[in-house]
Amino acid sequence: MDISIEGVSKTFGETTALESVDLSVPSGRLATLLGASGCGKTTLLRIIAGFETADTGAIRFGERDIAKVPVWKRRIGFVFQSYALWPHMTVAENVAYGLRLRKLPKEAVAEKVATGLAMVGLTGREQRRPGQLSGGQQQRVALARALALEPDVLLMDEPLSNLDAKLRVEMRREIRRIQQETGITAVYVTHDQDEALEISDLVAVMNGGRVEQIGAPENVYERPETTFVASFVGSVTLLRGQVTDDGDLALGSGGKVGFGRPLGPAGAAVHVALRPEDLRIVENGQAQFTGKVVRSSFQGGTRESVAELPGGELLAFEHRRPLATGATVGLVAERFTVVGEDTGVA
Amino acid sequence: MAASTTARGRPGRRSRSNWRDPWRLAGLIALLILLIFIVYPQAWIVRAAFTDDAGAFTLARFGAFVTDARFTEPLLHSVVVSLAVGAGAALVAVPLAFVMARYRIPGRQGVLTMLTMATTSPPFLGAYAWLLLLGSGGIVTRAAREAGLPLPFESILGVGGIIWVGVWFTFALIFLMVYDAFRAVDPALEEAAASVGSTPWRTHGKVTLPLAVPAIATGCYLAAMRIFADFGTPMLIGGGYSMLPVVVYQNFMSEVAASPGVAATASLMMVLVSGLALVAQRRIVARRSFAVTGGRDQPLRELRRGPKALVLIGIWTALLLGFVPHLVVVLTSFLRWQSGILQWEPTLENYRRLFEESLQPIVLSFVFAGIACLVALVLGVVVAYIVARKRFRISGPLLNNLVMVPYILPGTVFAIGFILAFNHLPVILTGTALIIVVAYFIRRLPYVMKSIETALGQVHPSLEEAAMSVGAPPRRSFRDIVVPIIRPAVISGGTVGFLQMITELSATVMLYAVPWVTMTVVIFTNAMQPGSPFGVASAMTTVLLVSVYVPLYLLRRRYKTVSL
Repeated sequence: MDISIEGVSKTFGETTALESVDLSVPSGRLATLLGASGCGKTTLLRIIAGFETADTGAIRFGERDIAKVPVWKRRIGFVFQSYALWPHMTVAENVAYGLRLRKLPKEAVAEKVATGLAMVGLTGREQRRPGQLSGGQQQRVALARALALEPDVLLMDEPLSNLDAKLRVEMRREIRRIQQETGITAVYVTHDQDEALEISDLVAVMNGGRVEQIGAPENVYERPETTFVASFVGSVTLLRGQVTDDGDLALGSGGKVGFGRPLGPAGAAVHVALRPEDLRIVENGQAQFTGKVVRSSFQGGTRESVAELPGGELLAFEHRRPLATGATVGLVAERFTVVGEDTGVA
Repeated sequence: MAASTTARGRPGRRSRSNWRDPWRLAGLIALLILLIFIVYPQAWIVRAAFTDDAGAFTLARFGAFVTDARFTEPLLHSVVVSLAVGAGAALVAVPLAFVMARYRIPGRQGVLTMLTMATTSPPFLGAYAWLLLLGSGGIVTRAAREAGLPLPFESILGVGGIIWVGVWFTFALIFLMVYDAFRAVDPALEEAAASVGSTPWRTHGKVTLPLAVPAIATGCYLAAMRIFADFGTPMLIGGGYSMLPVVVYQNFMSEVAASPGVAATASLMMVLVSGLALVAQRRIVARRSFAVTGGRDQPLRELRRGPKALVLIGIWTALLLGFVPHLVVVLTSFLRWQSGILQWEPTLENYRRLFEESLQPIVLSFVFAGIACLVALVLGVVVAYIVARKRFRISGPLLNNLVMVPYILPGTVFAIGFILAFNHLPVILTGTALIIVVAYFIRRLPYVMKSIETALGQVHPSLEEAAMSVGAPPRRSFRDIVVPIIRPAVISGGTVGFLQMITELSATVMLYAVPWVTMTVVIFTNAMQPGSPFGVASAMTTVLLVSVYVPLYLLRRRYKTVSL
């Protein structure tokens, strides 16, 4: 079932949490709300769930307007950051609770509980209490509980942020697998860009209560529309300047860089976003940028260094062979994005 | 949840979703109850204190109070005795608590259990039992006189006796609080002090003790207030040493005093003092409230043989003195008394007479405390839930503050308010059994409510939201999720409330009317009359002790710890 949100706004007292947000998630897709804390992503999720009510705007599941439908009638599954497993019930009882509320026959409940726990790989732990499980296992139970009722939509609020790094990667693949197997429409809130890029069909980058860009992960990463999106998703260098008469970039510090094609109408203020992996070291003669290496760090597969351009701009680039600090280096951008809208940096 | 978000900007929707919330209505009913039984009676006290006999506004009563030695002296006495008891009890409790918290002491669990028991001992029990022992006709005084042994005092009556009884009655309270505080100090803090060259004794003085100051202050405050508000102890063993609750009681109950204004004025002075004490305690705690939780547990160290023996002697002496009253009462209940004199003959006669003549007070005590306890639990859950979860803009803060008012009202003051307010229309309760039930439930409501509020703090709101997300309406999720999780706290809060109600004397003694006589009233009236059947009173006290300690024991066995 698809989710559509139109013009949703929400204020808490004096603070604006959401400002006219539009978002639509096609049926069976997983959309991520990505942003820093306080950007309104959790509020938006809680409005979709029905824990909060929007001040204005419409929310639809399929054709049904659900703005006035209470949580318990919305047919949602919700996975909480804190797991929110009921400590006085066993694992099986946690999963079965919603099914029992629906007055399903005993055998049907038992069967669905077994299927659900098998799906998250917890068969055999039915009689444990939540307190006896590890964090990862608890989150699996929460997932099974949320899916047991075969809800219309699955909503997840930073479900992995309490887990350690390795488990986080494992669990997000698990979540993606289950979401694709069940074909459920899902909204996933996170502040972790790797997580968002890996599991989503659709990423909505949020900043200050607004959605800045919605698109496939590749799109958002490769063609950021605002400086915030460019800087929040992945590592980036933003060069600010003005387009010259011949279409080059005049840096604020006085330098001038050509990119092989006009960056836009002459005189326009633009940002050029350069990913470290898009820059290549070249011989001095062909270099677009020439700078001094100010720091260099080994990152396993590659090295990432920062070169200071004559005008003082810092440019991050990836390379393989070691570089000495202080060495002069020539660089060429194999790819770049012109970002029109300046919304600040993350 | 919908109601709690209180979205501004759309007044129509807000009010509609708010009023649909059943907690709104529950909160309003709770508020009404608190207004009728807390605010209204206190308003009558204020009114009586600020009007003259003709009904005109006056401040003269306060002028008369502060210039009349019949009142200033008891006020001073009360303050001095309370401070002395707080300090004395702390002197006993703090060193013992420190040693118990840090060193391996044989029988730790037993000692802790006994200390918990000591804190629920009936307030007048100490006075009554020490009177039996050391009163002018007491067992020990008489025996000493007959044996020709000189005693350093005539009898326990007087200021020394009150302080003595008070210290042994309250030291366990301070002990338990301070013990927890000492246990909670993160050992890393002390290791840090040691690492910069501090000697152990210096560390304890400069790090450990300051960290425990909030607990010590709170313990001393509770201890001092118990004595300050206690009516039974000064009444029984005060001798000529007058203290405020007794003076207020006598003034109010004497037939001569036609106007309640004098007692009302004195009542307000009592509230003023206990309010000031609360402010002082809060300031000390707030200024030094350090986060000391987290970190490792304090390891228990070994003591050398010599100090260990000393510590054990100290602990058991304190415990023994704390439990002398219990022992005396139980022992004498099985001995024969003849015209107020103890005969060393074992007998069950006291119990036979008790059950033949005074069964009703036992039953009544249970019924009153039982009903009051249930009502307090229901209202406590409602208020605690609203305070912890709902963001009601007016009723929330009102409930939260009003419910704590009885906390600083001494029983005597509380009873005077009830009598002034409820002996005439529109609400007449005096002389009924209901007034006692209501008084019990309102007086203990703050304690019950706080224990439930603490438990609710442990129930993360997402647990309820999770239930709603799988289809449970709010009422259902409250029943299936919240109630089972807070049940242990409700049960232990309720049990402790019940114990305090069944041992209540200072308000009961003013509010009761024949035939609605409770155990505490019977014991008290017996103890006040020389030559009355002490054996029966002891037997009844023993029954009271059993009805207090059996539930407490069961509770402690089931939930391991009990916080009072």
